[in-house]
Amino acid sequence: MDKNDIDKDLKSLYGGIRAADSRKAPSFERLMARPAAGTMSFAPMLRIAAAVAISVCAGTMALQMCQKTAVQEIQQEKWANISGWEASTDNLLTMSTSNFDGSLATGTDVWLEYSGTNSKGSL
Amino acid sequence: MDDIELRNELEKIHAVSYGWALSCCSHDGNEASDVLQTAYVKVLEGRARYKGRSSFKTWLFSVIRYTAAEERRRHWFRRLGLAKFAGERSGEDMFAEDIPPDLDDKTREFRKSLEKLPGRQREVLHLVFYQDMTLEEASAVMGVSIGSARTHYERGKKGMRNLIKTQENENG
Repeated sequence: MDKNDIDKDLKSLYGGIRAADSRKAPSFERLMARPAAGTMSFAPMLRIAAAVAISVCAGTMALQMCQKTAVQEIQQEKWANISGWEASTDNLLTMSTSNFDGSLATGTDVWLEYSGTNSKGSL
Repeated sequence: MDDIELRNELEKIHAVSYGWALSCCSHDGNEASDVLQTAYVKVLEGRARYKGRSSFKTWLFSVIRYTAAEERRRHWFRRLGLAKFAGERSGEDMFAEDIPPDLDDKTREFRKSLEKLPGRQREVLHLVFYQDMTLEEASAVMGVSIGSARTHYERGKKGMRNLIKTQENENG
């Protein structure tokens, strides 16, 4: 099949389709008299899309806020634990800062007093 | 062009416009009627204006082609079950017949083969062989450059040649 053959073939085949289409074609008046085809309305679709977008944004924001609060609570608890912590040797530090103006009695103070009395010869 | 002139022009080329609408709508009679009616309404209401840059037929065909693309989008909404947003027509369809019963086998087979071609190739072949347009006019309708239209034309013819050969071999 050469170039001209295919052209002729196509011409004749399209001719067949054209004849069939023209038999089937509704008249101009009949076409215009039929109920109007609905026009594509994007307004409702836009409203739905906007509602979905707003819902998604609100949901994301709420989720982020919840996560933020939870993290804050964990951090507060952590800080509370750290600030309340005491080492077992903290008592020693308390003792070292007490006043040693003689009010502190130790177990051997009695002996010191005894030895003093003895030196005066009151025994 | 006033309303009466426009109406006369539309009526004059109505038959071939219907053929073009059918080609744009995969030979779906109902859809083609919808597309053609919408295109006519656009023209008569002044939503699509003819400015005389090309022939009236070329211009109208590009309006029909654009309207068919809109209709395909509507069809897509219909498939998603969003018919009420797609402006679905209510009531019975007036033009339910898709393939006329009086088509001979050869033409019927040819029409089926055409569906196997890519859209642009099918369009350019229709415009040249069915509508007797030049490649330049076809490119204007399709909104592509003449070089691009020529490429689609050559590829379309090659594709059809192969499809016809295959059909002939199958039929013996």
